[in-house]
This record gives sequence, structure tokens and C-alpha cells, in this order.
Amino acid sequence: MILTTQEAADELRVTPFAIRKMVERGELVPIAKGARPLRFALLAVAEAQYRRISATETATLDTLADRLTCIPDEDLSR
Amino acid sequence: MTTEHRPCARGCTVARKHLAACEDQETCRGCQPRTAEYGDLCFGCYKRLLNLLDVAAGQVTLLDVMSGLKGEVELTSMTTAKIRTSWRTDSDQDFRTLYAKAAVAAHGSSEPLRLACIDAQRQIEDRLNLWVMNLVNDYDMSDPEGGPLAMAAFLVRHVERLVWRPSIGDELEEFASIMTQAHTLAPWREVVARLRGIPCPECHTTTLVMFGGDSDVTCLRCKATMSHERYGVWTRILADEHREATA
Repeated sequence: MILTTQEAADELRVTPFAIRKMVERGELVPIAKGARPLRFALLAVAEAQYRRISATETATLDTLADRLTCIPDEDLSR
Repeated sequence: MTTEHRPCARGCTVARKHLAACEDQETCRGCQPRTAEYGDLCFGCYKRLLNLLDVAAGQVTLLDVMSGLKGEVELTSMTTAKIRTSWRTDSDQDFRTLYAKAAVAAHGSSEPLRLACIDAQRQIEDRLNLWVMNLVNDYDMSDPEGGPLAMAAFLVRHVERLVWRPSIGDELEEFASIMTQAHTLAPWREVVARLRGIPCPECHTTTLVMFGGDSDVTCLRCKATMSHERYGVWTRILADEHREATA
């Protein structure tokens, strides 16, 4: 899946300008380096997103995921 | 009572969960083996096996079409018509020059492709045949009808037995590799619906998708798969949390 700069910005909840800065800093790798307009693979954006998740967010999501795991399959269909 | 932990035969791991022996948890993306839920396969691999079996017959048909091109399709020569621009054409005169090159409609260049298609087709059929033969022998069942469609349907019906084969991990890996090669030769596109804004419960990135014809939700990054019922509960949990946080 290929994303434009705007779509990548939406994914990471930043501005397109911030996306260009991230590319300059090497935090986000476009599909074709040096080519314009910039295009990004969804998984590359996901990697950048993963690095930006804060410890608090991780802890919260882990707690919620544990709550989800505790629910047995039989109870899900109810 | 003790519960035995059986790891997935394909060596799948859980994102961000580490073994006690993991030395570098900063760079490791997760090394804790995923539990086998269906025979020797985890839920994701089981779904993948089912999906591959579902599309195998269609893929064989596509390969058949690709490899059966010889002698049936005539290639026409590319013809480019250009209007010569000069002082002679400033009237209504339509002066055309045809740059037509006689392209030989030879299949020579596509022959390796055709052979690769036939090879891939045979490989898929052989793999299905082997599985069917093993199941029929091991469980003393009656043979299904010939043809990839019937064989794939038979395997889907008896997938609960197939997943208990001791070498299912390697066999699935091989089958997936054959299907990838076949897909490269005869491509088709599966409709993918992205589930935007919902983080994956395992890797926390928003890369959850739903493949066409599938009711399960898969994470493209960590390959975690969950049923749509579990996904529904997950979205409810997230919504509740968000409501509590904003209240």
C-alpha cells in the first residue's frame, strides 16, 4: 500500500512539513529516495509510527490488550 | 492441571513479547513464540493456509490462461500515426505518416514465462495432490475427484486433520512460496479494506486491514489475526477508554 505525503501525515498525526523533515532526518524512508513527489510504503510509515508511540500510550494499550485477551472466544459472540 | 504450550510450527512470534533469554529487547521486535491453536499452527497461519487453499484453484486457472496463450492470441503491430508539422500542413490537408514497424508476433520471448506458468501450476497441483494422498492414506478416506478445485475443497473440509501433520510448518512455507511465485506470474488483486485509526492490540500500529472475502482482521505489520467479533470488542474497549480519558 502506497501513501502520499498528506496520507502519511494523517497516519502519524503530523503535518506534511513534519513528514518532509522526518525524511530529511532519515526517520522515514520514502519508496524512491530523491524522487518527487514523495511516496511511502504503509509499512515504512508504520515503523515510524511505532517508534513514536510513547511509553504511556504503550502501557495503556498493553492494559487494554490484556483485557481483550482475557475474554474467552465463547463470550465474544454474545 | 497443566496446560502445554505448543509453539506455532512456522516459528511465528508475538510482537513486543520477549523470552527471558532475550538479550536485546530494545531492537528485538518480539521473540516469544506464538501459541499453536489449530493443530501445530497459530491462528494467523491457520487462516493463511485456509486462504491459500481457497485461492489455489483460481490461481491454477489463471496460470492455465497465461500459459495457454501460444497460438491463440495474435499480437498486432504497434502503429503510431503522427501529423507532420510543416508549412505544407497549415491548410486543412491532413497529412499523415504512419510509422508502422512490422512486429513479428513471435512467442519466443514469452516462452520462458509460459514455461514458468506451467511449472508453477504443476507445483501447486503436486502440493495439493501430496496433501490429499497423505490424508487419504493416514485416515483411510475415499479419494476426492481429480482437479485442483476438488482437491482444494477436500483439503479445506479436512483442514483440522491437515494442521496436525508433523511437517505442516515447512509444507505451508513451501506452499506459500509456490503461491507467491504463481501470483507473480499470474497476478490478481485482492480487495483490502484498511481499518484506519484502530491500533493493533499486539504491535500498536494502525495497520489493521480486512482482506476481501475474509471476516477476520489482520495486522499488516506483525501479522496478528483476530476474528471480527474480537475486533468489535477491541474497538469497544478503545472507545470506552477514550470516553473515560476525555471525561
